[in-house]
Amino acid sequence: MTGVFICRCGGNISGTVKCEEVRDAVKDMEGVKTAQVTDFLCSKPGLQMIRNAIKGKKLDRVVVACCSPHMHEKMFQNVIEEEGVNRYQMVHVNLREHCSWIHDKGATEKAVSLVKGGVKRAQALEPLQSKEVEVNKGVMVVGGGVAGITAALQLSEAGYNVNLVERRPSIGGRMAQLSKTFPTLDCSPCILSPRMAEVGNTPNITLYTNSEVKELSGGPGNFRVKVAVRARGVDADKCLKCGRCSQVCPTEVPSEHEEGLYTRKAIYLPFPQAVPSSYVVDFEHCVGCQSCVNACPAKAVNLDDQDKEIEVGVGSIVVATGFDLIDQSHLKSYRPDHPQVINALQVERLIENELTEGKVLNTPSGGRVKSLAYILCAGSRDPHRGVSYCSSVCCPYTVKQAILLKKFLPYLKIYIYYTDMRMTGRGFEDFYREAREKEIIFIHGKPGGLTPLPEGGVEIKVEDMDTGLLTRNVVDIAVLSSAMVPSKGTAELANRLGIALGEDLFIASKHVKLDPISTLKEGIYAAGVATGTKDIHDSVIDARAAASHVTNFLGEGKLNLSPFKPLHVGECDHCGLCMEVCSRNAVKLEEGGPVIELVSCNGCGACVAACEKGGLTLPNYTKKALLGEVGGLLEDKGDEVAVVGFFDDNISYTAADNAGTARLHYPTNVKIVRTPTTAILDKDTVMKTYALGADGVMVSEVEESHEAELAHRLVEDVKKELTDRGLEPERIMFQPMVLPIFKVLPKFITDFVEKVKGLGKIPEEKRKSL
Amino acid sequence: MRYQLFLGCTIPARQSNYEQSARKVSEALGIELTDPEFGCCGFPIEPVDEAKALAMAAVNLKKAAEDEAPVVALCSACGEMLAKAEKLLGDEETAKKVNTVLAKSTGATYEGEKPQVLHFARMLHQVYGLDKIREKVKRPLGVKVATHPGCHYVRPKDLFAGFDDPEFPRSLDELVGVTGAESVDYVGKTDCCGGSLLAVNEKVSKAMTRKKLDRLKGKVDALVLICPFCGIMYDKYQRLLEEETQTQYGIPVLYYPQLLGLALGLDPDELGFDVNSVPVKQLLEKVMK
Amino acid sequence: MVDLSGSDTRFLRSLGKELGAADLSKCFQCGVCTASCPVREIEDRFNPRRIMKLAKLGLKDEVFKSDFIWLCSMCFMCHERCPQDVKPPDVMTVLRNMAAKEGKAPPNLLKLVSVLAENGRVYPIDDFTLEEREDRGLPELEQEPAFVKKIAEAK
Repeated sequence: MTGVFICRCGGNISGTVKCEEVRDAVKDMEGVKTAQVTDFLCSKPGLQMIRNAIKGKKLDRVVVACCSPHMHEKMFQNVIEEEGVNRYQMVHVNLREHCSWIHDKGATEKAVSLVKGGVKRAQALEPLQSKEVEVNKGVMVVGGGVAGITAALQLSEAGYNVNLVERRPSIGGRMAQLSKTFPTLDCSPCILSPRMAEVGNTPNITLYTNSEVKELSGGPGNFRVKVAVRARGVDADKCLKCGRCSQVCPTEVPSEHEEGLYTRKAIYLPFPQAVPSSYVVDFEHCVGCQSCVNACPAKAVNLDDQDKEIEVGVGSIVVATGFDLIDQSHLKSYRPDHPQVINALQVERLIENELTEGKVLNTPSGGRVKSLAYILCAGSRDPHRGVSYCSSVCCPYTVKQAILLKKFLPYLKIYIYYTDMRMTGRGFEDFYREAREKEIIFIHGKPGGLTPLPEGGVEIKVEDMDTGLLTRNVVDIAVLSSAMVPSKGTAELANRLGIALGEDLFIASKHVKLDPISTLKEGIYAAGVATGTKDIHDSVIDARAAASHVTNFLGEGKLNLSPFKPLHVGECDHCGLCMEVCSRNAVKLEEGGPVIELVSCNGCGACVAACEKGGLTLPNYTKKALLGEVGGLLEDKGDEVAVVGFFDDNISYTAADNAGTARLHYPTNVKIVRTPTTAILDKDTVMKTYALGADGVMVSEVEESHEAELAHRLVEDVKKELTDRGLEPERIMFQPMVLPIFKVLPKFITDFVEKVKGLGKIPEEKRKSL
Repeated sequence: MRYQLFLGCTIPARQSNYEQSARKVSEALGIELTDPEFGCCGFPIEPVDEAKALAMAAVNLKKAAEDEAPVVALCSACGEMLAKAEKLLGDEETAKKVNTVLAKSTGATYEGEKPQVLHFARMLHQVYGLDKIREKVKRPLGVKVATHPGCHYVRPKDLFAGFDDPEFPRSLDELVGVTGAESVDYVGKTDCCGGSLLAVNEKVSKAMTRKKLDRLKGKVDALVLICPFCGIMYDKYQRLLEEETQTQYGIPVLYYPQLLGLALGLDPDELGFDVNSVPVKQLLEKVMK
Repeated sequence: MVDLSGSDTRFLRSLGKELGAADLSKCFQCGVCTASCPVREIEDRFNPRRIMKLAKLGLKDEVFKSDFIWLCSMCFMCHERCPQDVKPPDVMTVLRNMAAKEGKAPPNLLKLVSVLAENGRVYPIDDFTLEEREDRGLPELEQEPAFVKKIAEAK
């Protein structure tokens, strides 16, 4: 007995979809006991309506037709479970992001199809139980900057074992490179150092520096992470930090900590407050002369130290990988190649190394630096050559640096060339006023380029928009307040962890407003600039939120596993195809047949589709359920061609949601079917989709994934089958999808629909033969 | 190697030195130039009637497409206009508008013809090749010159994809380099000559020309360029500017083929120096020494 | 004082149609165009940034005033550097064409069309020049390309 509940969503759905018409179209369907419409299904009265219907009409399965399941699916499931209906006998139809927000004309007709599809799917559902498993109470934090350190400390205090993985030889990140922090001019290393030392001293934090995450396997609650630990070359416990090794080392290279302004040796201490507090060998540049080995009084140097690979088991992961400044090749007009043009991180190092020592700044030619200019928005807000977003912190840090420079060098003339001054944080506006009071000169205009003059100095030509005057200035140093981008390797790490990136290439949040810290993968959270530009204050907040999330997730030490994992039914001839096709090593072939390791299995369905004997099935994503839904979607045959889109839930479906939220458009001919991944599809299911009325099929899957490979192969197989049966192979297409490009998904869909329109509907006789 | 030569309007009427030297140099390098009956590229009237301007360009493109040899333009503005027209005519709406103009004038129809169009200097640099030119140099020039790449040679960037740099162009300097001459770096290399403003505001136009002359005064033996309009501004107007500003510039202005011609050992009398306004006698003496 | 409520919507609509308004609307007045402009350095009457804003506000009369939009030398440096891809030279061309249709263009430029209609060339080639070409060994030239004349004089 099915109940159908349709939401008007306060006009968001009812604005283009006539909900009452949808209700009337489905209320007499077989098995439907009741169909109702309400304003806000997710509200208390809306939910009460569902409760009453379940009780009154003795429903055993429910269809909710409202916003995207990615929003409130769990909440609806909880409600029906409370009323005694199995939570997995619910279908959540997307009438908003996939219908009312996309279409104008034809929205109601499409909504009817979507709900009919949902009803047919509901009838094929079985009651399922989630399985409870123990979780690993270890946590991994990737990235040892202030966000990573904060999360690690909070988690260790809560009693978790934390594995902190940091790529550089010391933790500390960018904050360790700063002089003072805005707006209070607190000393950055002073406030960070104690936290760093705490990390080093906390027994339940295991620190892996010089290390990187290489591979992830297992599943949420039970991840297995392979970490590559590069050789340190120095025994951190024995190192006395006397520095004799460094003194005798013949090799000098630019120092990373000093942003290339100064050099270090091939054996070096990253910086005085480094944790681990030890020297480290840069094996890339070490010439192997062994002078350091001989010089070390503690015999701590070992040039034969080897790289290692270790595997760590954790239940949850926090990604806090921070940022780099944009590569200077994007800023060519500002001549970053010139010695008198530097970036803001370099200014921090100059302040720490020179000015706090009481020195003055000199130009490369030796004269005293008397004037300095900042160029704000260098590379930011610049989709033409840089990044399209605002980097958030450049306005406040530029003001901070200007105030600091004035403190040390009162004679220094400082100009700040800005487009907009964005000083939104607490205390920032007063800070801005302080800068104006200190006679720092603000020019409202952005230079097109910088011109180093042969006679010395850097020329800046700008229209000061406030006065309307074209101005010319020659300064000794120009500072580029350049754009912040995700730190090198973020995309690869995201790929390895199976989490998505946003359009701006920072890590994508589950929901930008309501769940900014969760990634698209359960159990993995992201904090700090890894999720978008922000200052230390907000990074720390992120980190603490991530630690809270982890605490909730790992909670009592138990986790409910999704019941959508393959079941072995029927015979097994030990052909091994299921094992072969599994990318997670989750299928083991035993005497009685395949055994699925539930934690590692991510429910993709590949083994189910691969088994030629039908020996495996994916509960509630059976052929009956899938084709039932397809049949419902295609029931109302019109004159237009019908296209069915099989989308993977994680990325493609989310991309379609994002396109809907952005109110983009594509034709109503397309009806999207939510699949765990498209690997659940086999040729038979796709051919039957055509038989049921589809004229075109689109398979959308995460680009460059194992599932995409399978989907691609499937599409090629279907093309052959279509050709053999005298139909056009262009009626099926494979669409690789990644989240950052969601805005072009409507174009891909529209182009495919146009193509299928060109081919026309499949002739009836042909369809019957399928 | 064969190319169709696009002369435009300015060169045959006012700067035949560019044409003469370009033809002589091509001959010496073994490059064959043919002369289809092209007409105005449309650039001068684009500001007041873009449709007509594109129509003129379209007819030239059609003409060029009759022959498979690519087109080389001596004038940067012509080069840019033809490339731009090719791009804009790819849009259905624009093509329709232009074909309407063509229908009521010449009766032709633009049907998507897309001949390859290159600036003469680009052809030498990117297709013919610096090494091949260097081999043929008989008289390395020991002079110091400044190059004026001009605007429409490398901008807008999307019309010249894969060639040189729109903000820091180097190809002309490299072409100068193979002649043995030194191309000096100087502030304001990418400054515009102001030529396209001559019809609108002569004062501003001349002031823009003057900026570069002021900067280069006394620093170089010659200014080398590749567009007749820049040539008119820096060469023909130099004397006038000297009078107006009471300065002595005395900077000979050479088209690149004139410079290259000297390096290839060609007879200076065949390189059109009689058309140059600023006296080149001293420069030639220095070179011939 | 300028009354914004009087902004010319017809002007904005035609501007949008010619341009695909998207480009102009992205301008956030950073001033890079004016900072890079070789003409602005010489003549402070000319200000590309200001023109973009006035056009965006639909203030047609301000935009078409005197030689305001006619001083762009089309050097494309702003096109190269604009962070929001506004393409000011393209905007300039569209504005100029619109002004010319209303007769608000510098007479010298309007004259060029008639010169082309009469002579088929921007600079007419007289017989003397043709002779000179012969002397220099330069190939013959079509003195008055017919298609140029026809296009220029079309109504």
